[in-house]
Amino acid sequence: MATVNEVIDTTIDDPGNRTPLVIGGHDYGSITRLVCGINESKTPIAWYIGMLMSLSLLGMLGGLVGYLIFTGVGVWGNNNPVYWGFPIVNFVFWVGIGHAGTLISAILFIFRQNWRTSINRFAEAMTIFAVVCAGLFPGIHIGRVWVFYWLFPLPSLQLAMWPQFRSPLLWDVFAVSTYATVSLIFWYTGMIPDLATLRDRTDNKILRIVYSVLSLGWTGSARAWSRYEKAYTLFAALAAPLVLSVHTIVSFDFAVSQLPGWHTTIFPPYFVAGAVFSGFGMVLTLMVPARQWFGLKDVVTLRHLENVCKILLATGSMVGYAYAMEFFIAWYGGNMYEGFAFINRAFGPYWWAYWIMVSCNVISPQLFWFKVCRTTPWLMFVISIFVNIGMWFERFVITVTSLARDFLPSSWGMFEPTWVDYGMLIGSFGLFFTLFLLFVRFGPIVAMAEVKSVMPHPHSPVHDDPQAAADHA
Amino acid sequence: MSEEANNTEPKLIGLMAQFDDPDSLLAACEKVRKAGYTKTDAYTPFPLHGIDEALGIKPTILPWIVLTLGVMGGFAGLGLQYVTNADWYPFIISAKPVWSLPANIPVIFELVILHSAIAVFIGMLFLNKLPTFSNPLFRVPEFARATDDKFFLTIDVNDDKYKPNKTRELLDGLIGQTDVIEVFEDPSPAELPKIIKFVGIAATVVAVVPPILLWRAYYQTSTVPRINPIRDMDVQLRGDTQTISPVFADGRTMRPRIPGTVARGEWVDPIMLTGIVPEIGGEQNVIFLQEEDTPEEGADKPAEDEKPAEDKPAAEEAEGQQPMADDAPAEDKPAEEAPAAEEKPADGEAAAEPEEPEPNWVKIAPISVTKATLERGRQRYNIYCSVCHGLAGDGDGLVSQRALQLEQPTWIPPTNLHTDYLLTQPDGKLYNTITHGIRKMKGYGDQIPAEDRWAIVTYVRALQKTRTGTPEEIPAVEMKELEIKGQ
Amino acid sequence: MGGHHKPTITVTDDESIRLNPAWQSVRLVAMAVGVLALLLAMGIGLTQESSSYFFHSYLTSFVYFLSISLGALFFVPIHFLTRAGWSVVVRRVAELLSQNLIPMAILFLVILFPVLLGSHTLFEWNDPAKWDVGSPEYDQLIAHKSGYLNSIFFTIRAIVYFATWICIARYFYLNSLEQDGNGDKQITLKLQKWSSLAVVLFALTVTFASFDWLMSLDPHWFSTIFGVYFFAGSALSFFAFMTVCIFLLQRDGKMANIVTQEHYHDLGKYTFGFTLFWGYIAFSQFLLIWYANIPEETGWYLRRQENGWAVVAILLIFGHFFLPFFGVMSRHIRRNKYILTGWAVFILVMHYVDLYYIVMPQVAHGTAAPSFGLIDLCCIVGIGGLYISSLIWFATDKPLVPVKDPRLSESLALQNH
Repeated sequence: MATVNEVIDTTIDDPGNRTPLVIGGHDYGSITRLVCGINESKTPIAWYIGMLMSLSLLGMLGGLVGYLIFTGVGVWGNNNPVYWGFPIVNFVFWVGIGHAGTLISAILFIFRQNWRTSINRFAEAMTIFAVVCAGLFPGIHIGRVWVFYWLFPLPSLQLAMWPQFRSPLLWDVFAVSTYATVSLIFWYTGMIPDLATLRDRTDNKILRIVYSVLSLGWTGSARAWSRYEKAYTLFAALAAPLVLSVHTIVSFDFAVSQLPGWHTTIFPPYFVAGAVFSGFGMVLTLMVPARQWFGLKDVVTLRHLENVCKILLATGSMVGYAYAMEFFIAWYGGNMYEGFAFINRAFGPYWWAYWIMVSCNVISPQLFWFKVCRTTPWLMFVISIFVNIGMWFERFVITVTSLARDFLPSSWGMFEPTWVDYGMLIGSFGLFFTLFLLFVRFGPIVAMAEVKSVMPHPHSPVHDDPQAAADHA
Repeated sequence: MSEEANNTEPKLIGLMAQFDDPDSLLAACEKVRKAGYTKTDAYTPFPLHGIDEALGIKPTILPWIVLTLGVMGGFAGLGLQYVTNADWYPFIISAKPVWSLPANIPVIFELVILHSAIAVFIGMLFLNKLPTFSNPLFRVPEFARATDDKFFLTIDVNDDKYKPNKTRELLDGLIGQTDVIEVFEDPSPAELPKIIKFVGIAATVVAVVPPILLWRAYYQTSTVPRINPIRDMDVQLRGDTQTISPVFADGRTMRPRIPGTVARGEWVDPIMLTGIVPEIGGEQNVIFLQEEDTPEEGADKPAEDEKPAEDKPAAEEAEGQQPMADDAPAEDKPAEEAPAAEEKPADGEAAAEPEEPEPNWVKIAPISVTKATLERGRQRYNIYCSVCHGLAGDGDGLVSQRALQLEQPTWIPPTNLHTDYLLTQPDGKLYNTITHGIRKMKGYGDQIPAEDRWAIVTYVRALQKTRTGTPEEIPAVEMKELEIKGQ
Repeated sequence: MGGHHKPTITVTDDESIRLNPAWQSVRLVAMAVGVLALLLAMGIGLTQESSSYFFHSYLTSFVYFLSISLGALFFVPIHFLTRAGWSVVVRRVAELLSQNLIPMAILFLVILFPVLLGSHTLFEWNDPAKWDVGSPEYDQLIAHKSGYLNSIFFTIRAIVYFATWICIARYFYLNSLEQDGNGDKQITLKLQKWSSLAVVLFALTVTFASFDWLMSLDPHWFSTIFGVYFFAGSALSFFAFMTVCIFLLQRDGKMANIVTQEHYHDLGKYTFGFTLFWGYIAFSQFLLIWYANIPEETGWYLRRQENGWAVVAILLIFGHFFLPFFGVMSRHIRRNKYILTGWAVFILVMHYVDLYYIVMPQVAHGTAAPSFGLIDLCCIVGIGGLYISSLIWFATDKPLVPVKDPRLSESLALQNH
């Protein structure tokens, strides 16, 4: 019962004892009530307001997509030489954000980081929605959306041809669609027990049917749990290399080319670090207000947030390392085009984008060296916004500066985004938040079963019984 | 609850003990297993560590299923890429071999992961017999908290060790147990309700109709113009022949060939084209091509070329462009070629500018002489040449006969192809004559493709052979055939 | 996990966690053999027509053992940075391995002195003729890089690297030893605090050290991922080496019941993980260079695919990646210390092949076929002998487990599930 509100500063480190992951004197039942309460309570007005805003942005996005399809991709600012403008920037941005969820549930699982249980569901949901937003852009950039299936390994009947497997763009299709599929089933698998909890609690007939179908008749049988846990471990083992591969392959889109500023071997790990960085940035952006609004402070403690901040610091520094290596090798390699590309990034016509990127991605997370920044929610919220901005600009800088200034000065050109570009960027947030708000309303936003499994076992009568204790020993 | 259930006399299928905490359940599982029960199960709201050992649950075979499917996924990826890109459509792209393994690894990797992950998901559900929507346990109201905060242990009545009272006693005696509940079979009929079956079948049928219609429309011919909602490039602006184009200053839609270029696929070996062996090499090829193109460009003014066309080729221009390289040959040549120039008048016609150096004519036609070539040459010769030169090459073609009959004063009789002058002439020169004409004879280069002109040259040689050849030169086999024919 | 009632287990600091005295004789033998082998290698190598082969072979062996210690130097701060619990029982072994950076610094002089004396048998960029515009051997790229690749700056950097590494190694080790005495939790907190800085410094120094000592062997070639590649190999070889060390200690009956099957399982997981990571980085580097096909970059790989080097490349693909990957994949193997140690030895051999593949094709600019001769054997035995002897020297009379670490009982109670 959450009546006793112990005040525990979970951010204090005691090497002898592990800090509890759930505070506030919760037991199993109260965790269920706390989490399910979010779904079962009356829909708050704020939710409707948020949904209205998101839906209007989504509507705008839909309108713009329609406009694009009926008019053609010329409505974007993409030009010659900047063939890749906002659409790929947005794509890479959203795919990057989509890395946090699987990373948390797979890699942190492998590293036995039990604190992940409080935030993994949330982050996985975010992953799925971010991948949906990302998938939108390759889908519409082809101009003729009705032949989108040419992206997949199917013969195109009109051309009597197959996709070309030596193209990194096709690898990308495989990577992103595999990632979307695996994230989705991983997320869903994780939700089955919690959906069963919702099923067993709800009085609403329709919801009960929906939750029954979704939870597939889960009973919590020990034999089922045994296979389920094995499946979860396998998912984690598969998703960990997958999550690395996705942004690696996105980086191949750029790095297999010969364009200065794109072709450099650090790209794969650099993109992965950047993706994790942006993903955790978005986790923080969403988690800080969400734990406030949904009263999840006992489950998502300050220590959880501090850990996220530390990961941001680590990955932000990795990104900084990659920037530094690129710059150093651009000089060291002695290739004049490469050298120019980097000088041009920092001091050329897009200098402002570069310096926004550096200050948001490398400098702002350095604030997390200070404990006060890691433990003050509003401060980390602000920094996380900077991280999101910085990571968007990173993709902008990579894509646009290299294309705008390549080998031949005669073929240089500038990129001017149009209002459709801006509208679609903003609209994609509408899509993201619409899906997200639906999820927080109807889905279990904390993995209850997992949180319960990392809570200390309550006192048991077995321990009082000398006979049983002896048997047990 | 149990009494209410008893009224309908359903079958008892098991006993269930309820616990409030996980450690009691673990101890209970241990105890039940030690008592020899095997058809047992525990229900917990979260995965409980140690319960596998406590209940004696064996490790699952799931990893093996996943490994198998994963490996299959890898081979599927490899096979797909090999078959489509290396076998069916073997194109060289980005200078990579058609089957380039490094470039195939990303897709192979993704397919391994995809197959494995789907195997994990389906395999886990399958092994757990999910989805199972109907479970007798769901009819026990207390069981709703199995997904919340209560822990349950069940023993099946079919267990070998099951004895109604003893088992009940065992469960009652478990420490930490808060309730023991009887679980009854689900009395509702096992069959699906008819309405669900009906809706299911109807939905399947309805779902199958559109694809079938599409498939039919795709593969059947029809007299009705097709519905074309997305026109792609089927209907689009284009320039038709002879229409006015606003794009070009001269308003012509059909564009003339750019001087000095050769259209793709029309390039022919310069020797083959001109019948002249280039002396300087390399760069001269280009000049030859330009040479060949000029008459095409100004095809309507060959009359200007009063002098024999053969004199004009490359050497002249090459001389202008590369005097250094041309110096030495230019000196030797006149001497060498002088006799040839002298011979010409013997043919009854003055060759223009005898000082002009003779090009280095190809001695023998640069094509393979086969029966088919000769046959082709004969056909072409009969069409184009025989009207003047006569079918046998005696210079007595129908046109010539008629002209002589009419006593046309300007008529110059066509050359007899059996004269010594022509017998000794190199093939290249003969070819050049066909191409560019000589004296009154017009050039046929525009009408007869190069290969056919060479075929004509070989045929002319064959005609000449009919006069100069000896019976010994005929192979024995053919001689025999001829003899048979002669009889 | 958090819920089990953990009895506080302690480890008493006695003979069971000290090095077996029998190793002292091994130390002396290793030392003697090491010195003799090195002298023999120098004797053969330096009297040859070109000393190039000797220096390259020496560098290979030197970097090989250096990389194991660098892996250890990564492991210790990361252990503190992540507040890891499981690895407490094996941490001391890693700390001892990182101490070996001190003898490695001395062994580096064999490479450093010739560079300072102007030799360019090993590092082509040290040839002043290549910088001189008037010289027929003028090399524009080397001249361009001479601001970075010159003997003075090279020496300064080497000093900085070793100073940083030795400082980190000593700091963590000495504090850890201090905690063995007083059990002060503050020490753990202090080390946790400094571990982040140590990791940052480690990343930078290892990157540039790998650029200096391996990448600049071919002064025209460059790859931004090279530091990460070297790090991946180092970490992998470290985990393999540590597995072997612990196996040997346990064979003496030491650390029984302290290092359990569970710890082998975890070491196996890291071995597996870094095998995968190495494969990932190696493939990324290769694919990008192969695909873009830019001459400055492909030359490096081309040299390593001709004259018989392709065989070594294929050996690496299978031996350094596929075989250990499938070998250590199963949890049953990771939990079997005999098989796991077998794989660890195999990986250590392959790590040598990996470095050999990086360094040796530079001898005679890739025109020589791969060969493994007496010089290579002497170099590896020589440096290895000194390495092992110094490791034993460091380990003598020290508890092999941090007995009073506050997280020791957590590590002892480790359970994989």
